[in-house]
Amino acid sequence: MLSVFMTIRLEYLKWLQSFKTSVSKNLNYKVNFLLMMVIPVLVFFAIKYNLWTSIYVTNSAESIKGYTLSQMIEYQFWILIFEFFVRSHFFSRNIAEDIRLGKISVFLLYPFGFLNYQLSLFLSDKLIQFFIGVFSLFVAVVFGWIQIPSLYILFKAGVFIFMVSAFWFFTQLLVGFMAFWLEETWSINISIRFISAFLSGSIIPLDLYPEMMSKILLWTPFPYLIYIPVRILMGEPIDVGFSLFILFIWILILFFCVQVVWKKGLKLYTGAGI
Amino acid sequence: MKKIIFKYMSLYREFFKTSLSEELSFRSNFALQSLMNITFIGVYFFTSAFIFDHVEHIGLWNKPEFFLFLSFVFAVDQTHYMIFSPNFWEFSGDVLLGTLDFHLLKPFPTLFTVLFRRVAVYGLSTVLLTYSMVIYFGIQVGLEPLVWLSLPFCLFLSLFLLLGIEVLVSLLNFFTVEGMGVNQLRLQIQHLCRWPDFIYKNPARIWLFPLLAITSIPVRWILDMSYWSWLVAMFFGVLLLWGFVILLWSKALNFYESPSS
Repeated sequence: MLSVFMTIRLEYLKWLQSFKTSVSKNLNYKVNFLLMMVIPVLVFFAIKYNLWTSIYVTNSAESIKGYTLSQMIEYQFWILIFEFFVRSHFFSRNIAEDIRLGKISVFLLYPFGFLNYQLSLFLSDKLIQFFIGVFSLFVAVVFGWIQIPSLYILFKAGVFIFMVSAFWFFTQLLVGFMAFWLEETWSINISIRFISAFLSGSIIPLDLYPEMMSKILLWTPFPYLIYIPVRILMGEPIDVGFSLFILFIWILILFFCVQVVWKKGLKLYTGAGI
Repeated sequence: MKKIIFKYMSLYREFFKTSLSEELSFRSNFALQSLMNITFIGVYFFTSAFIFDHVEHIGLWNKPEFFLFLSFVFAVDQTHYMIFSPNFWEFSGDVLLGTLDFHLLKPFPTLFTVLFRRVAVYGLSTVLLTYSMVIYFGIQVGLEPLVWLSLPFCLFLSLFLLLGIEVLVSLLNFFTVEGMGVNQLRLQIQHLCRWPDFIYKNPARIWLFPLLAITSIPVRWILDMSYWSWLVAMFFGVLLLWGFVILLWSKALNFYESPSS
């Protein structure tokens, strides 16, 4: 019984130490952190806010595909906040570098696995993002840019934040593990970001896409990364069960891909630089 | 003068050859990066196309005019990406690790070797693609002969305004420990000028005008020749900016503390 307790405690300490190191590393370079995590989201929002205002004003449009200007702005505000919660750092680049430079060799020997270590880094990022997200939500509500939704809606959004974060975690791992075969993976990572920004409704709501395309997209993970959670936060009646089911299936697929790629990749790994 | 130009050109040829041979050793990377650039351009065009399915105008411009603007934006963007962008990323590392020493010791101006030593040769395909798009949408819009002739000048002007601003931003590398954030800031400037100035409301439009001018002034002239005075003002603005850049660059070098020596 004592040995089980000791094992759990040791495991907990390893997680805690990795977690703490990552948090302090992120917060050490505060300006850098601000420029990497906060500014891009704010700039993206500022562009969309100005763009949509200009479109509605110059076309004298009351509504576009059912969205009035204030609804469109509210949609963009919710994206801003949701992005703060789920935006993931480009950590696949670090994974790729670790593989390329042979740094994962130490993790193969340490009593704390590489995947566990990556998860602890990811969770530490999430903790900081959680505070940024809560702060941005608070500011938006105080200034009256958005209405605070009911607790039930917030709970549903919370589940989506968890699921979307898991989706990005496995995607980043998968892209990072491509470094077992490729010299550089950041172009894949950036391409995925562009495509997901486009297909997730992050720039324009999916209602504005051609109907056929919107229908096909519902079977992909993209709408569930931004569009669906944001519509839920706006109080729209959305089939949450179906949305979470599709997202869960994609996370499961990614999870299995990660396992397979990691195992196959390790067989190829030569530990350069040792 | 001819001898000096030849000397610089032969140095640049060496930079190009080195970059090409380096990139060709990683061919999959070469293909992936070209794919990334095409995806990036595609996202902007499809997004705009979907917006135009529901509205007649974005600000002052209709669909062909707006697509001409986007083509011009990406022609500038991809030229910059191919010739200068990799050098900004390396510059951050040089300041951090102290490898800027090697540039300081070379018998060429440091700014030249810092800005030109690496070429993203894989960007050539997208550069050609975007230039073709400018020609295609230029024909659709029905540009005047004088405007066609001025296109290389407009491209050059936009490129050097963007480059000047980016060099100024990159000087922050001398004062920060980690350079990723500074490069992120550069990327945000590029994001801002990928949309026309008239979409921004005051006071943002006034504050951001030097950035928005990068692409908006040349395209305003391309679509409406009555904006010639704006283009002339931009030309003198770019000259002034580069004078300032060269001055600040030499001052900023004094803050460089070589960690390797």
